[in-house]
Amino acid sequence: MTTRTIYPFTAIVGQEQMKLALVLNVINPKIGGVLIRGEKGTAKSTAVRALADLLPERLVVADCPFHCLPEDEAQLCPQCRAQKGAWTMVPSKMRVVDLPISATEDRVAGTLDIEHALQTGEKRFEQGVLAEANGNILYVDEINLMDDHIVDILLDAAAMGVNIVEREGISYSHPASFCLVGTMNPEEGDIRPQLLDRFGLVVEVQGEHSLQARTAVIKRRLAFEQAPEGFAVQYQAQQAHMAADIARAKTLLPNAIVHDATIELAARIALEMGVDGHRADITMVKAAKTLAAYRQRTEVTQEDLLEAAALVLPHRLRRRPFDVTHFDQDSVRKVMERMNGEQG
Amino acid sequence: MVFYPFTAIVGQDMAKTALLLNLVCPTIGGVLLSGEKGTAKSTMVRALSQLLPDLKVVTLPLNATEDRVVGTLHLEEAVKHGKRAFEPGVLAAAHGHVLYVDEVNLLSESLTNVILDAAASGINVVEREGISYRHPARFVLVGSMNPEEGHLRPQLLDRFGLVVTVSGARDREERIQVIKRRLAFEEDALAFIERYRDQEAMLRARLVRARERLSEITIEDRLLTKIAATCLDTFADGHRADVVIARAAQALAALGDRDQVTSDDIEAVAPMALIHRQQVGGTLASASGAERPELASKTMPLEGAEEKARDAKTLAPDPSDWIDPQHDAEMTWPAKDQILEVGEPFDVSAVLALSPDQRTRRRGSGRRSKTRTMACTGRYVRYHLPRGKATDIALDATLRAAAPYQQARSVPGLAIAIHSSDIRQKIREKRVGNTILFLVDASGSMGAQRRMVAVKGAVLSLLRDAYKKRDTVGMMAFRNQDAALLLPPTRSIDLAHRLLRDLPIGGRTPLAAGIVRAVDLVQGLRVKDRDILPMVILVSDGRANVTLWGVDPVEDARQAAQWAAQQDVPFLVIDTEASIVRLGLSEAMSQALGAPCLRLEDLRADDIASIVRLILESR
Repeated sequence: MTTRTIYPFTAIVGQEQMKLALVLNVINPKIGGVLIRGEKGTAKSTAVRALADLLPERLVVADCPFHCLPEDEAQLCPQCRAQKGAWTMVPSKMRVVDLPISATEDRVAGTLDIEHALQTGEKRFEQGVLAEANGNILYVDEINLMDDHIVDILLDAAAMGVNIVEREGISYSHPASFCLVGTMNPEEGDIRPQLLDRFGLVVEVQGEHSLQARTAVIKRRLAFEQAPEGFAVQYQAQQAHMAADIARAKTLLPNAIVHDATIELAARIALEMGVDGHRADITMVKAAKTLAAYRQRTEVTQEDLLEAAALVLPHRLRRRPFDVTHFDQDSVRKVMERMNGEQG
Repeated sequence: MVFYPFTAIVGQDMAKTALLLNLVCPTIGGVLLSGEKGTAKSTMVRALSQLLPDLKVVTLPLNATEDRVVGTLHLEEAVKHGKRAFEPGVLAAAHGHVLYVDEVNLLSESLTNVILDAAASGINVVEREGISYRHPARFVLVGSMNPEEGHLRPQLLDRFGLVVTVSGARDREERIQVIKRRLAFEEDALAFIERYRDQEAMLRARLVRARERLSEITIEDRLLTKIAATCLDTFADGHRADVVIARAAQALAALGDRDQVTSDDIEAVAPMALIHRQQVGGTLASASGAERPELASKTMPLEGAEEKARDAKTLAPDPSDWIDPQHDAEMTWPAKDQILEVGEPFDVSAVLALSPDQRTRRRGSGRRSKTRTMACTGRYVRYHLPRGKATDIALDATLRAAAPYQQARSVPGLAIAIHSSDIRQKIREKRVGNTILFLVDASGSMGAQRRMVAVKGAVLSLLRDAYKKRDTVGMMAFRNQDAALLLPPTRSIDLAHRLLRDLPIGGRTPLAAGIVRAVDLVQGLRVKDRDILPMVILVSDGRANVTLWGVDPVEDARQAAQWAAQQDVPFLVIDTEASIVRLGLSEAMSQALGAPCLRLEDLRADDIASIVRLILESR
């Protein structure tokens, strides 16, 4: 397979929130993915595809069809669990696995291996996209246009981190814990509330408004199209720098210290903003931890949490269709000030 | 698998109790957990497997096919030995265990029926692919759902012994605990589980003891009377509720290590058994809505619209200045177009309920109806013999059909030789949303007595309903000389809402042109996708005053309506005429269209849902 040069992540002009949300998920896939909403031509898919270049290398179990991560003991496939301790490990780069919206359910969930069945008369599971997505990033472009029954499969898998297949004569289950990244143009229709909630973070992107930024966008794009490789070389240093930042953040993350006050703040914000369920609270704290690690700190501050809130809350406030509630950073900040005031 | 410990789940006492009661006494009939997202519904259910020795939680994925649910022909046995053996499916695996369906409201119709059959009889009867087999299938059915995604059929709802509505904790300390425990679990699952080992062991012992004691628990006659009285008071359907309450109360007493059921036991379990059985046709949604009025009142999605309307009000002249166009069609219209506010929306689900006979062979992915689809998309649920040439081959079923004959057929290099008589075709199912085209009269007469305000309210209600059902919505408005398509059919209901809010009115009424345009549009959509379920909702007072074919505006409109009826385009007329002297023009229109006609003011009546259902069913 020939590898086409991809547009470097660090060459994307502006769109800081989107870039930040993506990077946070690379550092800590447990944040639960990101949904990028925005008009056409705002570098949404470019950013996601560009991510591939920055993804870290990690050790996975060799010969495991689901490339289990040894450190994630709760998510091992049955075979890896049985052979615990006897694994050979190989380094493998995290990948962006594409899920085209035209994909059929048998290809997504996996199905009966028909060739094997015809040749041997035995049933065997042929794995689908979800098997490949385990431990990786699963990317769905135009996720709002995906068929409902495919969305159901994603929901099932995302809920448990396991893909259970009971179809076409096959009964099989395997780990499928992935970081879901979706992009969509809201003008073309909305996404189901249940799926929306599965995304840890949501960012809205818009075209850049400053003349300077717009000019830079044109210039870089033209330069890239003219000589992709030459263009990429220019950004090599920046890309390496960012990859190193990500790697460092990954090592810092387990040591992050979250004070009780920060957790209380998360709970207060969720209560005052009136969000559904508890996913918002938990995701806010996780994202704040990751932010701190990305900024090379182990101590998670209340400011980290406020910054995380801006990525976690907006789509969770929207309780009903047409409800024009906007997330505003000030009201979240006021919650913090009130709390700190109460506690002197 | 590593599971979050049941005893580490914060709060949710009602849901936890309901689940435990079913483990003590499986004949209670299962639990449905209904509630907002992110409230540990599935975490709770999956944690059950750790609570009793050998208890499994068998998960039924939504994309399961029928052969795997009921069991089927054993392929290998058939190919290698030419024997027809039974390969057990999910129902067999669930026997004596918990069968869990997450998002149960999205489960396909045919699978739902299969599971209901087995749950009701406790036996799975398999008659397929030359296999005749039956095995016991008694299981605790546990479902979870988010009502935002659609409701559950009353028939299935009634099958669940208990129903519990779950919501997030509103207490700050509880929320803090939820965050802390979840983070600790994700950081080091095994250490976290270790911390709850004693509590889990205690609960396990309590459950085992309660199971042993259950048969000894007595219930006094006066308490049985109390149960019956409670059920009578709430108009519960049938006797299932009575029995469920009695069993659940016994189980609760057993869990509490008591010999006798007390009045408190009954009061504790009765709500779970009654919430979904309260009235004829009652759904969980109405029950939980009634339970949380504060939520219902927050659902009016109008803040933005109201603001806009306030601005608009200052622009709009007093409606009494307006002149009834019927009296003077040649009147000059106010130079400025009016934008009127949006009236209060109301529940209209029933307006758009389709009659059952329309629900075959369509495809799409809305959620108003689940239907069979002929196109090669949708969820593969079962198979059949193809009529004519097979286009969408069910490979697994084809292999099973061929398998038993392999001893007699032989093709070098292949273990299975397939003859054309083995070919089976997939049956797919897909939820179909309607394609709803709003045909809105935006002429000046609609401004009289602020009719447009109410109209916008009505259309907004329909839009809200469309949003929930994932219908495709388009909007066309007619005024002055012609009709214009404001919004091509789209899934983005937000756009439709914005357009509606800002819809200007003024000018004359080209009703005939509006109808013709709408029908043309629907026909065009049908060419593109023959499976759509279109519906045109005509919102007008029927006072046509622009002719299309140059004779009489009203007669033109009537002819256009008759033509529409011939084209088989279903209409619904919302008559906005509100003056004291009623001309009944819309009613005449609806007759010509062969469509039901609803008066705008009637749409507000409480019993509108049942009236509309009657109208639609009689069609």
